[in-house]
Amino acid sequence: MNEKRTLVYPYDVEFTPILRHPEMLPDYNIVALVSPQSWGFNGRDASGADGGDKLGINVSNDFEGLLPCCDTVMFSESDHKLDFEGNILPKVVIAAEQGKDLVFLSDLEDENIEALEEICLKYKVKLKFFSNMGDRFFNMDSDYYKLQKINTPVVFVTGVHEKTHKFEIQLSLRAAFINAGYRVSQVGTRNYCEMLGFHSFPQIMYNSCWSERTKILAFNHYIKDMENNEKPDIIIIGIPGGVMRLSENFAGRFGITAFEISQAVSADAVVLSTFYEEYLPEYFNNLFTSMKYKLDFDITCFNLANVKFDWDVARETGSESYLLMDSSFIDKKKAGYKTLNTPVFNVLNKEDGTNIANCLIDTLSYYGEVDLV
Amino acid sequence: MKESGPFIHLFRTPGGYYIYDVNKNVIIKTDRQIWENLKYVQAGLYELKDGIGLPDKLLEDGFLSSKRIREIIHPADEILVYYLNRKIKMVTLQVTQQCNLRCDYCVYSGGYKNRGHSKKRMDFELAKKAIDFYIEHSSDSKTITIGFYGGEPLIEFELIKKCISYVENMSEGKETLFNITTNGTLLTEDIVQFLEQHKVVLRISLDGPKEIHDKSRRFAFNNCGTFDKVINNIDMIKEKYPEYYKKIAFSTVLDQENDISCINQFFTDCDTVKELNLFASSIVDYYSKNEIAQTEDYNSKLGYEHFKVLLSKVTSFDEKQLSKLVATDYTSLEKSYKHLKPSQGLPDKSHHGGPCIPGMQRLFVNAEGALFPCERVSESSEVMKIGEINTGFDLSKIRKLLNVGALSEEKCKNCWAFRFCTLCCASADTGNGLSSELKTRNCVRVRNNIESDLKDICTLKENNFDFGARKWMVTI
Repeated sequence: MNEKRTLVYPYDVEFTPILRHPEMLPDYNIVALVSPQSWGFNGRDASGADGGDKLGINVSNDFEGLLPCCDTVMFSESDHKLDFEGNILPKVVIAAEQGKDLVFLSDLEDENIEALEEICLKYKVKLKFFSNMGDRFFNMDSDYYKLQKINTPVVFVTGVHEKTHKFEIQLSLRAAFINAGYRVSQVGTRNYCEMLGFHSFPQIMYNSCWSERTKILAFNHYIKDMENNEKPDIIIIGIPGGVMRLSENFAGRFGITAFEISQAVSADAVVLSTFYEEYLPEYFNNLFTSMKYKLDFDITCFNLANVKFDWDVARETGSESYLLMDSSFIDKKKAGYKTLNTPVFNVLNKEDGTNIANCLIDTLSYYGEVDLV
Repeated sequence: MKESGPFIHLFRTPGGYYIYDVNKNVIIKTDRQIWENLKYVQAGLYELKDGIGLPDKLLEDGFLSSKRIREIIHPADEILVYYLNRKIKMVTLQVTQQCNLRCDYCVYSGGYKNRGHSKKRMDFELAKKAIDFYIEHSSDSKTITIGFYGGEPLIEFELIKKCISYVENMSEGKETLFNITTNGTLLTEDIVQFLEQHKVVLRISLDGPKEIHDKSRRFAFNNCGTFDKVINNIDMIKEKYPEYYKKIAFSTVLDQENDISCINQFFTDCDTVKELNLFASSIVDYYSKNEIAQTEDYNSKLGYEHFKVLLSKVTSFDEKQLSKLVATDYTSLEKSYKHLKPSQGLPDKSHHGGPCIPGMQRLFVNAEGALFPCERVSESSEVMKIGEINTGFDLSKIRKLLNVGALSEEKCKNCWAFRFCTLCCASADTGNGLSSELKTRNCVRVRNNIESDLKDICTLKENNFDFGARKWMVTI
């Protein structure tokens, strides 16, 4: 056992998927979760952050009080944003003073990295970053001129927008496929997926210095190289952002990344996660058709996230706003979509985590059985 | 109007004939002949299929549908518990019920059925509980917003200081906003310094020039007017805290018996106040023991000021000449315009516009720890008491207030103003329960206001004013 007893700060819904899949984090044993008191999680089970099943670990607001129980402090990304100098740095100093090693999952400016290195040097503690690692094996080469065929089955994990539990789906699928004995290669939507044993989405795909054509070809070659080097049975690609704009005012990146990835690699199976609304069944059918013609893939199954986009607050404040519901509420709602051709799951329901994987495997197996020449 | 006929509302301006399509939620510009024919359709004398001049394509596309809502139920009904557990937007603390003034129209001063002044004050333990309750029930909100309300809240300035300090100590990770509404008589240099330091948004009640302000706003101890005291305090702020001064806003209650021109001139000319923002509102008639009289002079003068607002949008009329009393008129019109959002049609289940989610939008905690939907409803009405700080929300009561449209279900289902309605539970509260009759007494006024907004929107558009690029109107 070489697990480091780890305190996570600041804890919120961004970290919950990792907490639900501790097997992905062999080097760290999460022993404490701390978030600012104003976030409203204090004293509550960590599942209060994502509305899923109980996790058996409570969130505290007592950072200093919990430091003695850990060896390492992991500074996580969070949905609620904290100021580096005002909120993070003081905690870094307190932790370093007490000899705790530091791990950073959030993106940092160069000057902030320098400040951290200085503090760690002063207190002789270790500093590790898991951010911005996705570009390491990515070769943006303008000489690529055609797409290469990917022979391994590819699964896309997509969402209509951010905050639809895509990362939870990615980790659930990874766990299920590995448990079923498959070799999995994976590109995840977060910047620190290397900590979890797979690749982070290459940030260079957002770089405006390269043409979209070059990016598409380069991503295709990146996946081809991955296939050649890792020889997987299956490739899972988590697509960052959404597949479409939500509205004129909440457009995200207009689904551009989804479009580029779908042009670079053909998907054999796709999970699309949507927000919760009181949808008519036609909504899912229309999404299926829309994706078929816009992104050239058939949706294998839907995930209905326990997240509602709060249009009233979003319109009023001009910024995106969400309301979280209990996962059990979604379980009741998804029952209304049983007759659809494309199944609807709730990834926060443990059984559905496996059901999604089985649904994808069934689809991929069917393709395997049909030998088209 | 025939219930089975097209669900539309016909109106006209001097420049055109219009159809508001309730299902599509758009305004259709038409010609006089079609418009007149539609009146016959509404009267049941023609059928749409009788060839009244409407393009077939329009009807094929679902315009002029006769569909009505089947059931009045608020869209938030099923997920109410999540809104209340995770998304309270703001809390207003009634730090005291005491006031050093006795204003004629104040809800506490006896003219209203909802409350009266008392010596009840909130203690710090209760205030902390209320703040903790709010924090625990707002994990999906991005800001912490706390208002201080009375009586006159500055009577409890020491409590306010403690509350602000308590919140600031726990506010890491969220933006924090404080606001206070005061009669302005108790403001001192020390108080203002504190308010500025903690970025408390200050709103002062000021009704106009001395003769008007003092008519209603008088000290309790000697019945003298408060105008001089308030103006002196504002002058003090202007001199000693000039940056904070610029952020002060006034809350002005317009009594229809007063001369609007006089009030207007005061806020335009008086050096102490002319640079500051103003939020004017008419005297509230919900819960009033006496009906609030409408005077022609008041309506005509305010109407003229409103006209100038519209004029400034389509001509070179100088916006500096607009009255502050109608400063929010255009914003309100723009809001109505934004509400004209093309729709596929009415759903089977919905609720008319108006009700916020009680307790989520602006939770009011009174001095005794009882919870109310906002500070405007009656504290003495049992139906409005939606919980206690010690026991939490009473969901069944909140659900009843949220679905206040169910009181007048059949009328609402057939009301063309369904989507734009502004009536909430306060409009139906008799003090002893919710009344359909009381609520529907407001319907004509609300529909007139909505029609007036729609006409203003069309009039501006006729004069080439550009609200934005959205398709809000179809021309046939």
